[in-house]
Amino acid sequence: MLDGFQESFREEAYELLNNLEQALLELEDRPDDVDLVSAVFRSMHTIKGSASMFGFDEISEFTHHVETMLDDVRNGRLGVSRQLIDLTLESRDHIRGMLEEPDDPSIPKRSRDLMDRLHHVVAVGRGEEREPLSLDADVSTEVIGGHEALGDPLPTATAATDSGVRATWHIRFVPHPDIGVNGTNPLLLLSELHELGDCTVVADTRGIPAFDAPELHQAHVSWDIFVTTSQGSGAVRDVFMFVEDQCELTVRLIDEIDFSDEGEYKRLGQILVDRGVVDEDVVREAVSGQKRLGEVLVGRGVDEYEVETALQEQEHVRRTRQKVQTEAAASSIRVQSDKLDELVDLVGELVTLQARLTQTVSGMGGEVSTISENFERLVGELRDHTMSIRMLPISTSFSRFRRLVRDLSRELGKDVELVTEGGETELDKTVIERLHDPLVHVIRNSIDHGIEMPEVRRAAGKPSAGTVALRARHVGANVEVRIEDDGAGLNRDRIREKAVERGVISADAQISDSDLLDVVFAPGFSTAGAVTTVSGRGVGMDVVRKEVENIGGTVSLESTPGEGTAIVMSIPLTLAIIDGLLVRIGGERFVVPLSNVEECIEYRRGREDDGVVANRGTLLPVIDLRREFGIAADRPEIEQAVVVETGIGTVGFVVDAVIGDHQTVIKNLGQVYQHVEGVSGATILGDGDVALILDVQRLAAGKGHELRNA
Amino acid sequence: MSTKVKVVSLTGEVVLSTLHEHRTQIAAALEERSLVLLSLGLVEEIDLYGVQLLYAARRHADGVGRELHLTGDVPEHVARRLYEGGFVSAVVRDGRELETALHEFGDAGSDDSDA
Repeated sequence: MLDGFQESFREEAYELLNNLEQALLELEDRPDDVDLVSAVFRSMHTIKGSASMFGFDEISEFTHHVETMLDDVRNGRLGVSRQLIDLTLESRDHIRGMLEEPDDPSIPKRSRDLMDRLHHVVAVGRGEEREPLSLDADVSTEVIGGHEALGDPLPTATAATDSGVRATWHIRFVPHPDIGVNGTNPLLLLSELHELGDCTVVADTRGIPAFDAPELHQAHVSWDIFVTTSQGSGAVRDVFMFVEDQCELTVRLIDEIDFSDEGEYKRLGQILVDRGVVDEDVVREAVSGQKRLGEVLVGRGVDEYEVETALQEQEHVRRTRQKVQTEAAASSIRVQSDKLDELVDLVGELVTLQARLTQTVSGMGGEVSTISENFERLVGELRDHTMSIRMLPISTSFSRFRRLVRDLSRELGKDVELVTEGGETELDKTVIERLHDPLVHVIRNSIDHGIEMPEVRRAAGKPSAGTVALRARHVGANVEVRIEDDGAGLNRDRIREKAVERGVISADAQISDSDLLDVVFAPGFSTAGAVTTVSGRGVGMDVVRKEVENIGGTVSLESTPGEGTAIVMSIPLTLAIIDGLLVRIGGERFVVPLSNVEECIEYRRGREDDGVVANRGTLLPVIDLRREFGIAADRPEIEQAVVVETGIGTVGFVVDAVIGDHQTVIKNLGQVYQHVEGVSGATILGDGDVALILDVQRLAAGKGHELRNA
Repeated sequence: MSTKVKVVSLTGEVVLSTLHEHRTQIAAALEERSLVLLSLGLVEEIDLYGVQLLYAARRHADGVGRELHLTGDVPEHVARRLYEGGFVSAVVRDGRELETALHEFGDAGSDDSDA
């Protein structure tokens, strides 16, 4: 049974695997991007380290071997190929499989198979064949020898070469003796380096000339500097820009800060081997003794200064990692989403209780009213903060579709690019989760039916690569999500034909263009000529509409022949607690989601109940809620119409009275009532009564034709 | 013993352009006395050549059987320059402490005399 730590690891690992997938997909588009190469390694390295720490040895071992295989990519010796990306993605899926089904007996075989295939691709990429890497290979050997490329003056394939990634650099700065002739003071350069970040400087003063030697007027000190900065190698080198021809300068990346790294850095022997100061054999032999390695090596003639700076390097990196981890731990914490759900439930209870308190003390005045008002204010703030904790950028959902688009377009022999926009737009995490399946349906449809084959596109004068765009933006209290493709657009004749065939409309029906397009959302409707594994079974768009409506949203469709199709979803920000407008009809109370409400107007019933009311120069369709819900009480002489934007048009809901705003904790209706039309949930009022929350979209749907023509 | 002590106060800039002047001053003191105390309290600026001078003077003194020690307060900017230059691993504001903290400063770096 997994304990809490292992569960935390799994959550973290899923996130890392998503990051890995994104980085790989982007790397496929930009194979020369060293940032992405580094991001791939960071994710794998973290998964490997954490898996090992929490006892997922198979995952750790497998990830280690994938990492080792790909080391040549990081060192710039192997280019990124499509096959390599394919296999690394497959490896990523395999790791996910190991997380989900750790006891699956096929894991070892699949691991070996993937490693063999990966090995083959790497060997071919390097233009050589080599013995397959055994899964039992000695890990420590790889660690000691795995950084030979770091001996280059500047690493070529790491994110740290650009700014933004926190990394530690080892700079060896040996000024020429006459560097001071032009007035250069090397100490000022070192001061400048300190401004870049955490800096450890070791001066080698052994070369300082004799007191009475004329060379004392020359520079005879050199430095080893360890600087940790997020400003990249460019900034480090810029410090020495004006003295480049007056010094020997090497800048090596020695550590990229990885939050998963434990405190332990390279051992002393490894540092010296990496620097080329001693051979690996010498270190092995030296560590076999009882004395401290540094002493032994110095005793064997290794430069004492080199040993000292190696120790300084070790200490610098250890200290910096510790500092970063402390900062990270202080700035954010990981909380299981279940706990957040519980918190929201509790806040919901508090909001309900507060409503009851407010109602109980209303009219009492005095101190108790003041306390109640303050309590109401605090509960409101608590509610907002709690809800904001659950808000996630929609990019967390968008990014998961890259892989879908990539794999699907390949499967179908199409070239499709995914474009995303507005990924920073935030939605409640539950909403995002429930939006996933509808989006998958729509994207699959767009690629399968929307985007044409490359040759068809070219013949139509379009670029052979199609585009699917996911765009999100705030529209009032809702988020609008558009899924657009630049494909062929919907074939209206075919839709009509199929609709008649299926009896959705009659053969001679005169319906508007929008109503015709709306037929696409009818259950079981599909115009696809053939059922593919991708789509065409007609179980798509009606499910999409149902799912979106279940989360209180609406979905509509726009399509231009030859230019493409857009599915437009309007989604509420949250599903847990909303601001509502409390209204009354007879003895019943209802809640209208306040974000949809535009205004409230008086409604005087004419002699004929014609279902419209004049408002602001237009005729506004109205829905008599008394009639909709079969409420028998007498009508007041003057009723109220709550004017609501429903997503498909504006409509007035006729009620007896508007009571006021109400913080509405949404409760599910339960199985018995969940299919009741026109009601999306319920809430508990301050006096303990239950009020139903109106599903304004569903209620307005009956007026759809009038609304669209209004 | 006090008659054998000479305090040399380095003043102003201890940099490449003033190196000769300060070297002469220290050399003269070491000629005269067996124990020289070098005060940095009035140093306004020090560059690499100034630091080299301190090291060279100490090693010279050790070599000719004299004692040379740092004394007095160390101005903030000098202490910082020495720290940022990697000669000490922390900012040290006291001359005696600085002497022991300076890396490879001299044979008797951590073995102060009884001056």
